[in-house]
This record gives sequence, structure tokens and C-alpha cells, in this order.
Amino acid sequence: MLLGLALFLIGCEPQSADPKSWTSKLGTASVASRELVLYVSHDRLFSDPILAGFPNETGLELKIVGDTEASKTTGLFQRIVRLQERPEADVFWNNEVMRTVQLAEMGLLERYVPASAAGLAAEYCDPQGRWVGFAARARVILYNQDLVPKDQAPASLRDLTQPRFRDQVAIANPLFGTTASHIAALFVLWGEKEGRRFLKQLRANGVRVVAGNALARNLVMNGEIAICLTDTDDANGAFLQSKPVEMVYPDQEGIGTLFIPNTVAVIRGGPNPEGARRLVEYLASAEVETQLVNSRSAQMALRPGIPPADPRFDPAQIRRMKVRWSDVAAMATASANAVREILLR
Amino acid sequence: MTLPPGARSQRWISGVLLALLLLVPLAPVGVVLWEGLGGGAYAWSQIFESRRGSLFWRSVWIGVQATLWATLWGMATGYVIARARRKASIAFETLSYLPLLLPNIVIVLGWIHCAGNAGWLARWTETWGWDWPFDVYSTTGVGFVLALCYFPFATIFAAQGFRALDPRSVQVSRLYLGRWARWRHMIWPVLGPAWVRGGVVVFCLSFADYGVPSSLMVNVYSVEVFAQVSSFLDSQAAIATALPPFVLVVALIALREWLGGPAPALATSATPHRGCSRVVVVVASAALVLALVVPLAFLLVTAGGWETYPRALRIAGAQIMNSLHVGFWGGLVTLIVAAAFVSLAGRVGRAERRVLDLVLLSLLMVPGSVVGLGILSLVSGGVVPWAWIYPHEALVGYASACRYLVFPVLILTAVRTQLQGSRVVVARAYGVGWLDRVRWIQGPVLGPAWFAAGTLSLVLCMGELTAAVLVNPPGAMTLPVRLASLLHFGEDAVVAALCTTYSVFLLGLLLWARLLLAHRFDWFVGDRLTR
Repeated sequence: MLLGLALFLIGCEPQSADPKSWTSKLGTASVASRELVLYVSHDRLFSDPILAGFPNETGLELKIVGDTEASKTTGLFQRIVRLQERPEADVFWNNEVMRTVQLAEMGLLERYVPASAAGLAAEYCDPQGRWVGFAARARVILYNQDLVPKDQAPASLRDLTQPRFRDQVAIANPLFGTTASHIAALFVLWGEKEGRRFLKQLRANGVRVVAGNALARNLVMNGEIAICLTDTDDANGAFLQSKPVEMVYPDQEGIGTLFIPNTVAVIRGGPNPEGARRLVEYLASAEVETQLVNSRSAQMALRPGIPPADPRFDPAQIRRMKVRWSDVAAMATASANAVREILLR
Repeated sequence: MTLPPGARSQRWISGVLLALLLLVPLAPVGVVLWEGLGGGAYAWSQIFESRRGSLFWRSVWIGVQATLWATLWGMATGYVIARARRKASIAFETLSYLPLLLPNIVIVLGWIHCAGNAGWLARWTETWGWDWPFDVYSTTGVGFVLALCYFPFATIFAAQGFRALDPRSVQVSRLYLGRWARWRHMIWPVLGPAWVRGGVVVFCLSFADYGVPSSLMVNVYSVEVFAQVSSFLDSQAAIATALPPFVLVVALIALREWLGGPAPALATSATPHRGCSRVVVVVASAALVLALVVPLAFLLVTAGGWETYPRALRIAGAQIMNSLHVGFWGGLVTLIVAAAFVSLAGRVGRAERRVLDLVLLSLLMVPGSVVGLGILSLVSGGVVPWAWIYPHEALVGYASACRYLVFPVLILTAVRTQLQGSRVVVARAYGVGWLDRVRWIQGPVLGPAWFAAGTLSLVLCMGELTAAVLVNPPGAMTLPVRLASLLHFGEDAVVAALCTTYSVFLLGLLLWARLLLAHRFDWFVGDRLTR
């Protein structure tokens, strides 16, 4: 057994033979690191082209740790929380905001306001400078045009509780990801009582809960189900495949549509704080926001002057939901408990 | 029965060593357990609320359905593997591993495309004016798909059972035993433990599965455990939620002991019997077709043209190599630790073996994220050797070993009881060297089991996802994590091409290895040759 263990360790080469980098990984020395570790929620297909433009004159080795949709709340978030005594990462680039807010409230993010963030809407940035929001997605209703005529398409979230859509609506699991943020935001705006009533109405109308937004979108694309709640990047994926689907920004006459920005922050106590700040400066810049707008994920710019790649994703034409993210994060537990009690049966 | 003093002390020492060895897989889970019990104000009475009760029994029902289907297919496939001619046996055995190579989500998506409301079968029956009768988005559909995902486990145990059963002995017993007596005294004592072991494993995996039911829009109990760990960060609530499945495992162990018990070492014939019932071959073939054709067809259709494959390899080639690396070394360590368990378990009493089975089977019910969180806590606390090893791919293999150690242990334990120690003693007394003893006596019995255990360890280590997300070292993502991310971002064609490529590659590798071993060591297919 000892021989096997030795072979195992010999066979798996360490990521770096540099002893300094080993001690910096253990967080026991503040030696200047030749590495910069980024936790990022985007797939490398999207993040790599953006990171390729990162000015790297000092030749830092950029190492990336990714995540999956289903484990959004256990992956990178938990790594930061559990390793807070010995942080391994320098920067956290999240494609949603609630968990970033929770990390900030736990004191795990450093205060740093990048100069490149000038022009970003203040409502999408932390008032205390612990994180910056940029390039958002919106929560939308996606429906299959073969199953739902355009004149009967839902226009608001409350339309999803109408009998004509019984057993025809799918949502991603509301305990995780952007759906969790959406439900928590509704609880903030409507109040807990009204939020619970909405969940009960959804359940009574036979709403189906699936593993994630992408799966919900796929079910609508393939005609398995008529309508789903998803994000604009998932909707764009369906458009790019020329599927018979259409998208609606819900509640344009009412509370507005929820925008969920990307967020970037410096992790407190990371091995390379100087490199981290440079990377955050770059990620919060207009250049990166423009790249995200023009990418397959069809993000929407939160600073003026960046035109949309597709007129369907023009933020200037969309009425946005007005909600404070600190309130949303504070409501997360109550909304999650309501979801478990009412929807997950 | 009173043990002699020497045997008693050997039993004690083996028991202590076994308990220490259990720290290897239990350490991360133990840390989370410790954290959970230490704080929080969780109302433990919540585990009895009716909502959870209905989710729990729904999961049990799904597990029962999956077990019934998987046992049927596993028995048929195992029979063919044990009885078919050599090359057909090897081909069947290798192909039966394919469901384990594919991510469960791929199998689910394949079946949605095939049997969903707008799937191929629904559209085909619509042309005839019929409604497609099977609702894949139901507990029955979930049980069916889970059975397709996990029946290879039932196959492995069934093949072991059929290899141990000598059909000539059964044939001879027809002269003096009726059908029921033959079944009860000759067949069931050998096949029963194999069936029950396979069934228990399939049930545990089906009960604990989260991905397949979620993808088919059915709420199950495992979501509760996963949600407590991930959504609420409440370790105490997670422990309380995990208690009912633990009690279930205790009940399953008791059921297994009552129904099966250990397999006796029966005399086996000098030459193997080859020849299969046609009906069984048809059932086994149908199972393989269902398990292979639907997901493979889905993958090929989704991948599209040939140009997708080189693109997919450019995108995720590094992750394939990382996974192969983790799979090989993690699988090797899993196998070595399992062998140590089996060796020690042979020296302790039946009660201690039951406790070992209980602990290892319970680990199947623990979400991989719990193992990952426990490892992170150990690293953060500076506990050696985890803090030394982190960040390193080795920990991904270790996390997988913690969860799936039970499989090689069960396989090697079952076959160990079939090895007649007296033959080895006699051979030694006649001066037969250890190499010849291994080649002609132990090898024919243990060889196929070691191959099966090694293959399972490799495949499961490669496919580890939920723990890998937490302990992947920076810059060294493994393939399952990348596949899940690519699926989310709509790169279905790339995912399909990747799954097809690495499944075909691994199957080819396994087939080649099996054929090579069978060619060089003709006892390896279970043929027993004497000189």
C-alpha cells in the first residue's frame, strides 16, 4: 500500500516544483508569486479569449479553476469559504452576483475599486468597493413557437400561473444559480407572503423543476415543454441553433426584468494581491465588457456607449428590475426555505 | 465457537488495522460530520416532516424499479459473459462497461430524444395515429434510465456468480433432486449472494443519484441532502437529512444477509462449460442495445459532422489527459487499498465484516460534494497529508476512492470466498512454486475479478465530478467538470464528440487489454486448466 501511494505521488507531477510557490500555496509566506490563480464561472471557451488580452508584461502564469452550472454554489464559493485561512486564489470572476455578495458579507473579499470601473452603473457595484458588476444577463421567458402562438405568449411571471400553461412551464432548480437569485429578488420586491403565494400558484399549475437553465432551454428547444424561465445567454444559444423559440423580457409593464451582472473581486489574503488588482482592472474594463457583449453568451453592457451585438439584447430597450443585491442576498435563506417547502415535493 | 489464542489475537490485530484503514475513506466525511455536530440549532424533528417522507419513499420506489430492471439485465448479461465462447464473452463484458464511461446526463439526454414527448418514438407512433405510452418524465422513466446507467454493476456480480456455478454439477443433480430442491440447494447458494450484492449496489446508487431525476423533472430525496450541503451551508442539517438513507443502508445489509450470505466455495470443473440459452442471449443483447444504441445514436447525431471531433479535442484534449492520469493512478490506489481491506477482512469475524460493508455502502449515499468539502477542511486545517498534497490531481483520485472503494472491495471479497484454500495448501505441499500456484490455481479464480475491479476503479475515478469541482488543482481541470460546463454553455456538439471519442478510445483500450491478457494467460477468461 505504501508502494502504491509512493507511485501515485510520483506519477502525479506537482503543478510546480518551485518551493516558493508551494509555500505561497500554503499561505505561510507572502513571497511574490509567479502565478495568478483565477476562479471563474464561465467556461474557458468564453474566458480564454478574454484572458488572452490580459496585459502580462511580467510573465505571470495565469491558472484557472472552473465550475459547473449545477454546482455553482458548492464549487468556487465553497472553495473560497473553506480555504479562507489559506487562500489559493487571487481573483473571483463570477457570472452571477448573489454568492459574491455573500462572500463580501463574510469578509472574504478585499476592498478594491478599479479605475477601469468608471462608467459602470453604481447599482451594480458594491457600495463598499468589495466587488464590481459588469456585463449582465437578464432573466427571460423562453417559449417554443410551435407550441405557443405569439399572441398567447406569457408577458409576465404571473402569466406562468395561468391555467392555459398548466404542466407546460419548466424552471431550473430554484435553490441554485440565477434562478435562486431571481426568486430571492421577487421575495424582496413582493414581500415574503406574496412570494410564497406565487410559488404555491406555480406549483398548483404544475411547474416542472429541472437541473439547470441549459436543460430547461433544451427541453423548450426540442418541444418537450412549451415555456421555461432561463437566462439570455441560454436563450441566445437556442437562437444560434435556429430553433423555433422566442424570448420575452417579463414584466416590462410592471416590476421589470431582473439583470444579473458578472462580478469580479479580489480575494482577501490571496497569494498575489498585486497581480490580482491588475487582473481586476482588466476584467472591469470597457474592452472586456465589449468582448462579452459580442461573444456567444450575448451579455449586456452596463456602461453606456457599448452597442449590443444583437438588437434583441439591447439593455437600453429593457425596463430593469430595481432591487438591491444586499437585500437579495439577505432574503436568500427565506426564499430557499420557501422553495423547498412549496416547490420541491 | 471458541477461537484458539493465536487466531483470537490475529483477529484483534486485523480488526484494529481495518479500523485504521477505514480512516482513509472516512476522514473527509468525518470532518464534515464533526463540523455539523459541533454547532447550529437545527431542529432534528424536521427529518420527520411529511414532505421529506414522501420524497424519501419516492426515492425508494425509484430505487426498487431500477434494481429490478438492472438485476434482470445484469443476470442475462452476466450469464452470457460467463458462458459464451471466449471472444464473445470478452466483447460482451467490455461493451457492458460503456454506460459507466458516459456521463449520466448524456444517457438521459439520449433517452429524452428517443422517448420524450417530442422524441423519435413519439413522432413515429404519431404517424400511425397512436400516442406514445411511455412517460419518461415519471418515476418509472427515472427508474428505467437509472437501471440503464447502473446495470453494469449487476452484470459484474452476476458474472462472478455464474462463473462459480458449475452447470455439470447442476446437471448431475437432476438425477436425484427435483427442480425446487435443485434451485434451493445448488443454484441459489451460489447465485443468490451475487444477485443480492449487485442489487444492493444498484439500489444505493439509484437512491443517491441526483442528476438523472433532476434532468427528468422528478424531485427526489437526494436533492434534499445536496441542497443542505450546497444551498444552506448547514452541516448539521445535512447530517440530519442524511440519517434516513443511512438507516436504509443498515436495512439493506440485513436484507442481504438474510437473502444471500457469503458465497460458498463450490468445486468447479476442470474445464469450463461454454454454451448459452438463446433466450438469455436475446435478453442480454437487448439490454446492451438499449444501453448502448440510444445514447450512442444521440451522441453521433448531436456531434454532427466529422469536423466537430478535431475541434472538440482541441478544446478539451488537456482535460482528457488529466482525467486519464487521475483515473489511472486513482484507480490503482483504490485497487491497492481495496486489496488491503479484503485481506484484513478475511481475518476478522462476520460481525466486523458486516460493519465494514455498512460503512463502505453508506459512502455511496454521501454526495461527492461532502467528500470534497471535507478534503478542503482538512487542507485548511493543515492536516497532514492532505495539506501537503493539495493542490494536486492526486486528491481527485483520492476523493473518488473514498466514494467508490466499496466496489472493488465487494468484488474481491466475493471472489475470495470462492477460492479453495485447500488446493493452495496441497499444491504448496507438493512443492508447486508460488508463481505456478498463482497461474494455475489462484489466477483463474481471481483474475477476471481483478480485471473487473480494476476497470471499475479506473472508470469511476475518471468520471468523478462533484468532488472534483472542489479539489481540482488550478489549471488542471478534469474532463467531467469540463463536459458539465460545456453542456451549460450550449456546446452540445462538442460534448457529444468528446464523449464519443473518449468512450470509443477507452472501450478499445479495455478490449485490447482483455484480449491480450486472455491470449497470454489463457486462464484469464475463467478457463481453468490443470496439468
